[in-house]
Formats: sequence, C-alpha cells, structure tokens
Amino acid sequence: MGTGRRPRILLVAFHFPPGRGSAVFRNRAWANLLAAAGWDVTVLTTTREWFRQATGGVDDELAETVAPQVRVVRVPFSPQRYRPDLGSMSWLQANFTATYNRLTTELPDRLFPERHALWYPAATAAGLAQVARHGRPDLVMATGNPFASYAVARALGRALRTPYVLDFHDAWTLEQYAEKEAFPPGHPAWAWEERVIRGAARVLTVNRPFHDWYAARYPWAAAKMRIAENGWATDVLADMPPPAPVPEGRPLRFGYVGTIRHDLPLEVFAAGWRQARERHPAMRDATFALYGHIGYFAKDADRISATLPVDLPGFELAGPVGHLDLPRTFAQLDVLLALLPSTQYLTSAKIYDYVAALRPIVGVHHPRNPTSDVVAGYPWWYPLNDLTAAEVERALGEAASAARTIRAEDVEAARAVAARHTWEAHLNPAIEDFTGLVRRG
Amino acid sequence: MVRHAVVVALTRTRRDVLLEVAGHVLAGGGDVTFVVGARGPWEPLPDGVRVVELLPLEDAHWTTPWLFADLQPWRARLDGVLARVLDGAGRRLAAVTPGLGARVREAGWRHGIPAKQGRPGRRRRWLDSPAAAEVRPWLLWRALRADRAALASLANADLVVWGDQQAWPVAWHVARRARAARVVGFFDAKAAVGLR
Repeated sequence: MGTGRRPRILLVAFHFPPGRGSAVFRNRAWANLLAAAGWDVTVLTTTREWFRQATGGVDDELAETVAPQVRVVRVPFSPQRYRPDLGSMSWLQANFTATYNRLTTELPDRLFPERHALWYPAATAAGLAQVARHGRPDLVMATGNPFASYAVARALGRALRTPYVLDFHDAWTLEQYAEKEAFPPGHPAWAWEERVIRGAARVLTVNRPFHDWYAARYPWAAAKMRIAENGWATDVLADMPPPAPVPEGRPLRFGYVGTIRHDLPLEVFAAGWRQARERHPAMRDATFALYGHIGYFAKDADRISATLPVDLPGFELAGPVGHLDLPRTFAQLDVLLALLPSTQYLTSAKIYDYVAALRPIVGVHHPRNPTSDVVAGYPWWYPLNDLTAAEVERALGEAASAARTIRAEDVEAARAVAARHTWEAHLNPAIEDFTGLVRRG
Repeated sequence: MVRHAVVVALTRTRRDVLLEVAGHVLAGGGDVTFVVGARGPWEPLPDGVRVVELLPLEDAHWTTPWLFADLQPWRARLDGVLARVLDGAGRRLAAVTPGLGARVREAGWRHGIPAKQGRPGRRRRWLDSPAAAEVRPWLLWRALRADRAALASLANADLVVWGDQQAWPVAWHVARRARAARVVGFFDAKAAVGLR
C-alpha cells in the first residue's frame, strides 16, 4: 500500500442491492462500513436485471443507501436459469434446451463445480478491468454464495499478488439445513474449498457452530478463521420507538418478517397457534401476518404458497416489505415470530432485526438452532423447549402476556442487547483486522 | 383483459395452475387454446377450451415415417426396387451364363420382407434415446408448423403460457409469430391474467 492513499479493497459480492435477502444486507453493510473506515471500495456484483428476473423483485430504495463513495461494478450474468424468460431467450436455448443446458452447465462445471460457475470468469475479467482502471487493490474479499466468488478472489489474489479474504455467509460443503456434508467424497467442491481456504488470509463465518465445523474440517486453517456475525442496520432501525403495553381490549398482532422459505415449521406453529388462540385470554382474536417474499427465487413461489396455512384463524399474507420499511412494519406488530428451520448451523439474519425492533419474540424452532445464543439477555425472548404444538402454545401465551405488560426496565435491557448486535459491532473488528493485514502485507 | 391465451404444456406437472388460469380467462370472455401432446391426460378440461394435439401432428410429420417409425414405407419401396433390379440382372445374366444368372436370381434381395414388416421397437428406442430428449421438443414444433390450420388458430394469441421446458420451442415460436403476445412461465401465469 502506497503512503498517503486510502487502502483499496475489491469486494466480490454477487448479492448486493438492489437485490434482497440477508446476503444483500450483509454485503451492503460490508461496503458501507469499509467505506466509513476509510477504504476505497469497489464492489463486483451483478445487474439489477438479474435480481428482477431471478428473484422477482428489487429494492431500489435500498440501493440508494449504499455509500456514494462505493464504486459498484455490475457484471452481466444470465438469469435465464433461475427464472426463464422466453421473450428474451436465445434461439438455441428455446429450441434445444437440453443441449443448451449441457453446454452451459456441464462444461462450466469442469471449470468450477457450481451452477454459478460462469460467474468465475465473468467477475475475474471485470475485476482485472477495474484494476487496470483504478489500480491494484490491497485486499480482495469474496462473499459466498455463489462460491464461484471465492475462485474469483483466489484468481485475482494470485494474479495481483494481493491477500484475499473469504466471507462464508453461507456454508459451501456443509449442507447447513440438513446438517450433513453437501457433496459426496471426491466431489470437486472439496478440492476447490480446500484450495481457496489454503490461499486465504482470513476466513470469516457467521456463527460459532459454523466456525467450529470449518475449523474441524480444516484444522491447519483454524488460526485464520474468525467469526463475523450478522447484525442490524443502524441507519434503518436505530429509531424504533419503545413498545407500549397493549390494552386488554385490542387483539394482539403477531408477525413474521422475512423470506417465506419452504422449510419453516408452519405446520407445528399452526397447531400451536390454534390452541393458544382458544386457551389464552391474552390471545383472544389475535392475528398472525406473514410479511416477505414467498421463496427467494420467484419460480418457487407457487410451490411454497400451497403450503401456507391460509385457513388459520387470524392469518394474513401481508406481502413483501422493503428493507427500509422494516420500522413501519415492526411498529404494526406486537409480537414477532422467529420461524426458523431446525438446524444447529443457522442463526437467521432476521433475528438481529427482530432484536432491534424491541418487541417480544417467540423462537419457533428446535432448541438445537443456536439463535438463543444470539439473543442471550434479551428480556422478551420466548424459545421452545421442543418443537411441538404444546410448546408453541406455551411460548405464544407467554409472549402475549409480555406484550400486554411491557416494563420500562425490560425496554432498557432489550436496548442493551440490541446495541451489542449492530453491523458496526460485528463487522468493524474484522475491518480493523483487514487494515492490520494490509499494513503487515 | 386476455382475449386469447395459448397454453403450451407437454407434461401435466403444472396442470392445476394452468387450468385455473384457463378457467379465469374463459370466465372473462376470452378464448383459451391448449397445445398439448394428447388431450386424454388433460381431461377434464373446462368447457370452451380448444385443444391442439401435437402427437398426431408428429405422427403425420414426414420425419416420423422417414426416420423414426417402426415401419418405414420409403425403405419398403426401395427394397422392392432393389429386388426387381436384382431379379432383372439375374435374368440378363442367365442368357449369357445360365449358372451365374440362376445363382443371382436364387440369392435375390434378402431384405425385402423385413423392410415390409418394419423393425419393431425402432420408435420406442428413438423415444427413449438421449438424442430424442435433445431434439424432440423442437421436432414437435416442426410438426405443428407443418399444420397451417393449427398454426393459424394460434396467430391471434395475446398471452402465451408455457408449463414446462419441453414446451419452450412451441411457445417461443408461437410468441414470435404473435408479436403482440406476452409470453410467461407457469409461475407468472396467474398474475398475467389478473389472478392473485
């Protein structure tokens, strides 16, 4: 790094505003906090069109919150595999789909074992073009998924003799929902993962179980592994008003805010909800709203919609919420529902937003999910001892009572927990570490 | 409002969604044409739905008898010609060298009978082959294209809905011919007709 100039970082982040989802929020936080810490940040991401077509929606307001000094380079990447659009499809793909799929899947698979394989050459070329235009970066950072971004970081790191950092927002070779290895022995993904980790200066994960799994798998790299948890955005949620006790006469409003995935424990929840609504006076006429996009990829929406408990009393499908609309949405709710898949490797990113919302939270998931560790000390956290309808009923009842008896000391305790979980609190230590890496380099 | 929706699907995977969309268009006074392999698996269809069946068109298309059918008439005809040529050559030879001519006529053209009977299983093997998986959806479009009347009935579509990947060639070409048509996948079909 030359004297007198800001350190440069090239952030390979496929998921970035105006996309949506937790990876987007995390990458926005990286870019903004790096810029705030004095870094010259260039982000390699894909086009707005990809997000629009593949995920069925974009959040343009969120894109406007990316710091103006962050240079965003949008690399074209075909969305046709995620949400086919016949209107803009090529003759070859439309007429000889199987042949086209082989050409665009099997051949790129030999380059990199992932369906985003072509992101590897595309982003590498774009990265080199940026270097030619703006100079060599002092650090390259890649976030996954897609994991082809790691190959991009490695290629750029080797070509430019620059250290690179990997941010495992999602696990690659660990199937974190099924809690098993994602690939059979001998699959090229194992060799690739080992290769990129071996060359990395830092490897970041989002929680302790995830970190421990990777440290056990690659003990020779454990010393360079760090945890950089997710967080909540102070520019979005810092001004949440404290909740007031809900008067007895008004029905409580429960809500889930986040992507409505196929594996949320809705069946057990519905059974517990019915019981709680019948048996707990505090829950009389309570409503339950699901806010969010149905599935991450738009093509999954119908399949997931068919599994929603539309006949549940008080149920409402409230639709997607932009990230900047979170305060308004949370303000309409009295109790938040952390409906999460039951896995020990997932600490959902939405739980951080929930904590910032200062509302009672019911953790509707198996206790093996480590989310309880994140919210330790939060006064209104109502987890389940087991994922059963009876436990859901109990937790809903307790949360309902809490919503009607909010105490000032609990508000202060909740604020204190929330203050520990901002993006700044979780990412700035890593950013300081990056600065040290670059200085030493 | 959708005036004419063309629904192209070769598998029944999204049958429920497609039928719901069709019912909605019909209820709004529009026309619906289903372009499917065969009508049977889609029954019962709502009243008023028109159906274009691709499998009969495929059977009638020249590629089937010429290349993919068990019985290939062109081959039987060619065999007949070759048999007659060989017999005639034997007669001519017999006039010069009776022994050789007799042997030639006796040997004859031995492939005539198999050619007339066809080769059982040829079509099944073709349909199961990897090559068919690559080419057949496009061949189905070619079969539809050869039927001018069927093609003309789709020309005024203002919405083309595809239900599966195998439907892409037909949907792609139909949409290109009906320039004003909007083309959507099954996942956008409900929104396209104003449902949900």
